[in-house]
Amino acid sequence: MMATVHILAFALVCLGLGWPLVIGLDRRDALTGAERLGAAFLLGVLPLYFGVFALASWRYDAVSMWGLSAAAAALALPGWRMMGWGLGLNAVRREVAFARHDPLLAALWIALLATALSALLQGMAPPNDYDSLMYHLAVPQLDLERGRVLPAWDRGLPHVFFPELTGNLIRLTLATAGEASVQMITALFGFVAAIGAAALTRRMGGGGRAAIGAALMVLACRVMVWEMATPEVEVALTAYAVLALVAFLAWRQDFRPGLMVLAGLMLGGGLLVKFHGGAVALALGVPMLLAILRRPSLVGQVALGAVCGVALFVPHALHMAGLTGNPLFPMFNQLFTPGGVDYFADLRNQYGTGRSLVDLVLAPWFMSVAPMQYFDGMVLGAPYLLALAPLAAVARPRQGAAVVLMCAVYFVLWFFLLSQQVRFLMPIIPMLAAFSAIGLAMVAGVARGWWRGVLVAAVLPLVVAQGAFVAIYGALRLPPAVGVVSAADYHLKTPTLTGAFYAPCRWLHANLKPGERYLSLMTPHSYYCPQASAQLRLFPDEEKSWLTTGKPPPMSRDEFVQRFRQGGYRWIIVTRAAEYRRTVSGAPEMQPFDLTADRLGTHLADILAKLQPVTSDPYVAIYDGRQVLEALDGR
Amino acid sequence: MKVPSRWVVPLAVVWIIAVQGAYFAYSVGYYREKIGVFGRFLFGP
Repeated sequence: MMATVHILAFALVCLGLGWPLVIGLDRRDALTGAERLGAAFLLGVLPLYFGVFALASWRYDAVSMWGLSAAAAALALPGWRMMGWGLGLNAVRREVAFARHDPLLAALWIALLATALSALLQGMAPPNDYDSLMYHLAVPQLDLERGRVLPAWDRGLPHVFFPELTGNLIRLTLATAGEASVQMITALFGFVAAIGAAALTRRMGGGGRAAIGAALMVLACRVMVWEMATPEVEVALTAYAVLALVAFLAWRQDFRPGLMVLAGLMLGGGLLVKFHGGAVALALGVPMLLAILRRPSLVGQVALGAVCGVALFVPHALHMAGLTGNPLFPMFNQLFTPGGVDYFADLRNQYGTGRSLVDLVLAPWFMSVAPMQYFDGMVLGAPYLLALAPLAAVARPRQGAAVVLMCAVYFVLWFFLLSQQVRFLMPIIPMLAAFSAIGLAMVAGVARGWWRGVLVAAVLPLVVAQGAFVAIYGALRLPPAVGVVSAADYHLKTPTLTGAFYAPCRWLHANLKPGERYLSLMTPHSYYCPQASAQLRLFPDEEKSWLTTGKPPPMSRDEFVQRFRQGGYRWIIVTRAAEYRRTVSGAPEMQPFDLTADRLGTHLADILAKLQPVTSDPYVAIYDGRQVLEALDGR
Repeated sequence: MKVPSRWVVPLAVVWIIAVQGAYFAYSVGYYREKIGVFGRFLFGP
């Protein structure tokens, strides 16, 4: 209950912070009320990001974060007073009146609101996605235990130095409302992405049903359903991408500089969420460039928008330059650090059918109809975007060329330069949803007689299949979210990539006394385990070694024993096995973890084989550090 | 938006069925082993 109250307050504060700025940038009312709401939220989170950025490196705890929240709420007051609450209420009443006389519109609204509410509430389920357990949540939790935000060198992960817009929102929430609210923030960004898709559909000439349909197609996309109840970041980037496009299209109406500044801020916000925001900016930059070519006098406005967007990123870039010498760390590392490590070289060719032009053309087909074969899993769900979006070509929607151009450029950049993970295509899903909704509405509009029945029969399996994906996630996460299923049961029965290690980590929390430390050789080091008291694979004097070499130096047995003795570790937690799911049948296989291949584990493998763990689960085991030290000493 | 020709609806239906036909055919093959005895009875060993 408190989590839902908190998230409502969080949304209101962000809207209040962003609203005056949106009004200032849109003096001629070029944006609709819904578009202003979306843009206000996305601008409103920026002061919170910068607040945490400035404050938390000095002090990060409940007091400092509640102080920041109180200041933000006070600053939001003028915005709340400026917001047209009466106009908004009238718009809701008008929509309800329309829906009363339009069963299909009513059904779409009900489906949309049910999907949105389900996504929001699912956020209260215990986190169990791999990246969040590894760093999205684990690092903020480490900071909270340390009382300051400091570089987490000991993780040995370049990921912890990615842009941190959502990371700082997680920090703010984790220190104030706690874990239950953290994941719900992502759902708020999802709602903005859905609003953006609906707004885009209207701008492209779609009707009310098509707009609600587009919003539903965004929220029902399998990757959106999954990510909206996690701390993953692509949902926020999606929201920034579609609102940047909407602001750009509004700017093209009368070329007011305020809207170009808004578009620039949206692109800059996207870059602060994830580096893929740079590809979004390049993609939208092409239609912007074409606008300049048609009217060279606009170059100043576009430059102003670009400067505003880049300005948002500058503090992060300066911080990274100070830490690593690379303002874009860990990207383009070889450019800034001669001989530097290319951290993501392995990922680049892990997915897809290849990088030829034929592969480029066929990629949408394969990622939609055979997603488990070549790409990163069932990301989209039923292939409704592939089935419906091309139909819009016949409808020739307004401003369609600019939208297609942005999507095409982003897709080409994704295909040739980025890791071909389908979830990285999320920034263009609202645009594809808009095309899909407009295309379907057009075909339904011209279908006559029994062709209408044929069309419904053709589309219905897609609706049912995607509805099943939405329902399955609800069935999995809503029971633990509302407390019907315990966190322990949920983690036991709900698989994640290599396990959440929930029960063993809880055991460590219960059995680690204040001041005691433990050695963690688990992969990844889970958010659920104590963070600051853990000694990971990198010792303090070598924790930056991966910056230059990509991996830590080798360690002899004698040196390890000496460090182990000095560390006085009470417990040792080690990975035993991991679940592998990319099998031919899709059925999971348990693969044992080879401790001898681990830099530190190799000195422990023979000893641990003879010792009995004090507790374990199928993935990890915990041993008594004193017994291990005795065995290392040969006693 | 421009009014499309009379071939639009049949072509759209064929395209929609082709995409989801390929998807469901792939999915049945992929999940066949997960479906269990009933699935193997339906789709072969």
